[in-house]
Formats: sequence, structure tokens, C-alpha cells
Amino acid sequence: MKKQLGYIRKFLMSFTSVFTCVIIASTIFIRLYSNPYLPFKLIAQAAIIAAVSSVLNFIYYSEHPISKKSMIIRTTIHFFLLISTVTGCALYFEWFSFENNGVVLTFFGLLVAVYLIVWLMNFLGDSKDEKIMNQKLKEYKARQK
Amino acid sequence: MDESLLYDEPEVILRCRELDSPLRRVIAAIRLVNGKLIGRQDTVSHVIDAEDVYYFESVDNKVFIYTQKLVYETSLRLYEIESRFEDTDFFRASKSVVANISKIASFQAVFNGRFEARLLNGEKIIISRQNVPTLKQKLGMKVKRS
Repeated sequence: MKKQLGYIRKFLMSFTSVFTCVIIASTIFIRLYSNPYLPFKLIAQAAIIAAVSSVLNFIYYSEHPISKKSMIIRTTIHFFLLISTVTGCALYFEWFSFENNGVVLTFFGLLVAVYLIVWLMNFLGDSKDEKIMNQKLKEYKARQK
Repeated sequence: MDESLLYDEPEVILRCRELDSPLRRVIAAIRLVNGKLIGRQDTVSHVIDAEDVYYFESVDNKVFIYTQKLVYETSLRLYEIESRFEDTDFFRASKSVVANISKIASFQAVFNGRFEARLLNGEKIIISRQNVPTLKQKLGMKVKRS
């Protein structure tokens, strides 16, 4: 039960952040190419995309520690799966068609930008933690002497 | 300090009003110094100082003790090791590893909140995301509640 609740918690945390990002990106997209008012349908579509994206996050789940190499492979798979899934959903929701190159480029640009921003934020946070942890490790060892 | 030939085993008595953090560290240090483990290599049993252990790893329901160069098998379960060395330098790094902080040379961020610890003997172990807060706490860092 605890394990299942953990999965639900992970899913909801991921869902919330992805949903927010999708809404922001969609707002920009619609502002540029469509009706400036957000239709209600879009909220439901964004929620579906957020749910699908959150399920994809389970690519990172493992019972055993994930090595650096495996993490790079999983991140690459996750990136391509996410891009293709979200593109598939967007096509199905008729957010765009491949007829207008400008629209296609903007869509992919926003998609990659959101992915990179989330990835960069995680990376910067981890790098900051790494620096502090190494400093604290030195202090920890100094206390032991 | 009471040194006499009358005593067979050393005994430490600690009297205090409150068991605070520095005192916990003293107790942890005593525990670790007295921490002896029995490790097997083939059919031969060896006594190992807990201080010499780099990490414990569970593989296929067997638990192994890793020192600087040697590997031993132990009958202890990982949760028993974790509870026995609670408040010492040992911490749970992942589901299958309990590691010794004092044998870590440095940390490196991997991805998604995971870290890799490079040990003093050059080996590397992964610290899974859910165990990073415990490690941070041990290092004296503030831990955000998630």
C-alpha cells in the first residue's frame, strides 16, 4: 500500500509541474497562432498531456541504483518518447498540422524549451547540492579528526 | 576513568540531562570503535573492524562487506546493519547498499537528484534520490521536506 501511495505521490507531483508548463507553453502558442482566449477544451487536453508525460517519468524508476550510463540512456529515451507522445497528442487535438512550417517550428521550439528549462533547473539544483555536499563532507571529516 | 585489573570488559557509563547531538556523536563513535563484524571468505571467518568497511551490499539475497581491497560475505541482513550502525558514519545509499561516509572521497551529481559517491579506493557507488535527504542530514545540511 505504501509503495502504491508512493507511485501516486510521484505521479501527482510530476502531473502538477507538467500541467503548469503545458498551460504556459499552450498560452504562448495560442497567443501567437490562434484565438487569444484559452478554450476550456484546452485545459482538459493539457491535463491529458500532463498525465501521459507523468507516466513516462516512470522510465526513471528502478528497484536498483541506476548507473550514470543507464541514466543517460533513460534520459535520451525519455526525451524522444516525450516529444513523440506530446506531438501525437497535439496532432490528435488538432493544435497544429504539418502544413504550416512556422507553426510546426514554434511547437517543437516550445516543447524543447520546456524540456530544457526543466532539465536545466534540475541540473543547476543538483550541481549546487553537489558543491555543498562536498564542502560538508570535508567539514564532516575534519570534525572526526 | 576507573582502571583496574578487576574489570574484564570495558564499560562506558554516560550520565546526562539530555541526549543532545554532540553526545549522540560520542556514542556513535564508541559504537563504531567497538563494532566488529564477522565476514566469511570461502570457509574462513574473519573479524573485521566496522571502521574499515567501505560499504555493505546486498546481491541476490546475500550481503557482502567491502573493505579497501577485500570482499567478505556476512550473515547479517542489510536492515540489521543499518539499525546496528544507526547514528554512526554508515547510511543507506540505496535499497541494496549501506555505505560509510568516512570512506567517501567526493560526490558527483548524476541526473534527477541522484548522486554518485567516489570512494577512497576509487570505487563508485550510486546514492538514490530517496536516500539523498538522509545523507544530507548526516552531513549537517538542511533538508527540504518533499
